[in-house]
Amino acid sequence: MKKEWLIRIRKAKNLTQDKVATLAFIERSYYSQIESGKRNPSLNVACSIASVLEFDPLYFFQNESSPIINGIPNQISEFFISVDKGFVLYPYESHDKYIEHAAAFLLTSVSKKRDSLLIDSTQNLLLIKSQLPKGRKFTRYIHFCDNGDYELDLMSVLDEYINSQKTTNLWINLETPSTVGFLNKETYQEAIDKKDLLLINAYNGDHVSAKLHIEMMRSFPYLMTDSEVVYSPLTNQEKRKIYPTLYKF
Amino acid sequence: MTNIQLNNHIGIENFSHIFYLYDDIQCYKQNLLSYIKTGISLNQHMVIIEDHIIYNEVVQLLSLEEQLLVHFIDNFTFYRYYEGFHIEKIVNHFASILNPLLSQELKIRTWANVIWNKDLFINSLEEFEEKADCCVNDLRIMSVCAYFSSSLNVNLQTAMMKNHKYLMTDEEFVESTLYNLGTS
Repeated sequence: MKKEWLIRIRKAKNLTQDKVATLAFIERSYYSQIESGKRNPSLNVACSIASVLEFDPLYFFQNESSPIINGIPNQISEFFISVDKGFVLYPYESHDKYIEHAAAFLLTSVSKKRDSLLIDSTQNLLLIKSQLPKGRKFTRYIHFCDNGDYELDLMSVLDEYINSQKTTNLWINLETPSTVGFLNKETYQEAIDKKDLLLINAYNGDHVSAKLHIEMMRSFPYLMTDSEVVYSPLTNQEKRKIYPTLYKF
Repeated sequence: MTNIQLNNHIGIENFSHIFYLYDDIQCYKQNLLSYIKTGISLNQHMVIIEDHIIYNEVVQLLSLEEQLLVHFIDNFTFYRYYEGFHIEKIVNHFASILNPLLSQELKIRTWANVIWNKDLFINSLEEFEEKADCCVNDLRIMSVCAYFSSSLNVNLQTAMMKNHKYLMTDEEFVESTLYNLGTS
């Protein structure tokens, strides 16, 4: 679908496609395809164009209609925009996609004026920060925490953070599989019930067994992959279980 | 325990590809037995690709007449455990087993306890299951692919959930919400 809104913004600033493309460090043909709706920009490119034309980069994602499957937007950026609370399980396969989604998650929280806390490794934090636009507008809502800090009492940090915020976005990547399961506790159900807490529990899918993942899928209502978000098939069992009571023996 | 008595009464097509992640071996055997019993009640032939110890334990619970409907294949041999997991060879072998049954217009269902030797792994399991899904849909048969949940990582599980319509555990039987959503 043609991005009329993008064309309007560019023309209002009296800029040609060529000029915008040059200032955003991309090929003119690529920019032209973005305007005509033939291609979608990556997060980085969306931020560059938005910076040149001075608008919120999330416009790129808010103005697209995406497929809605089982009542939730299937596309990840749409999901972040429209869903404010809930637990999401995210076993990632592609590291690049992971970084891109983490950055999109933070940008969405900024656009909603929601505080967000992201817990990750030193290396990932650097990569995610490099994807974010500069400026206080983008950083005042975003908080980072290094999971490799051995002095860190993660549970206390989380308790304190969750209790001090009314609405919050939380993204946690704890690398080591042995600690992945700790969030699977009812302790946080109260926080979810009383507050708008959107929590993404991410881990490297190569390092976690299907056995542990099944257990997690039973308590997390949403399941995210590198390319989509769906309901976890193992929650909401009344709705999803095909036949709960057919015992033959 | 799930106890999969899969038949028309529960609205599942008779040609379904089911991804079973098992953990408890007792539940697993019970589900295998239930699957065979249901097939027998529907007068279907069963092709069971299984560990011979598990198979022998389950099959002795069937009558001799019932056993006539069950065709056993050792899973170590079938999946070429000592030679390497080779998709083309396995799929062709599978077709050569099913074709004589299908040519007699017999109704069949299959069960496979999938194993692989990590040291000799040639092709990817995702690719194998993608081919298997097409095969199951084309042949219009019911097929269970069982994997030990501790032996599979989440990335493989996600890929499997994309090419199996149903997901089963020792406790649940559900539609996979990732089915047909493409690769990640």
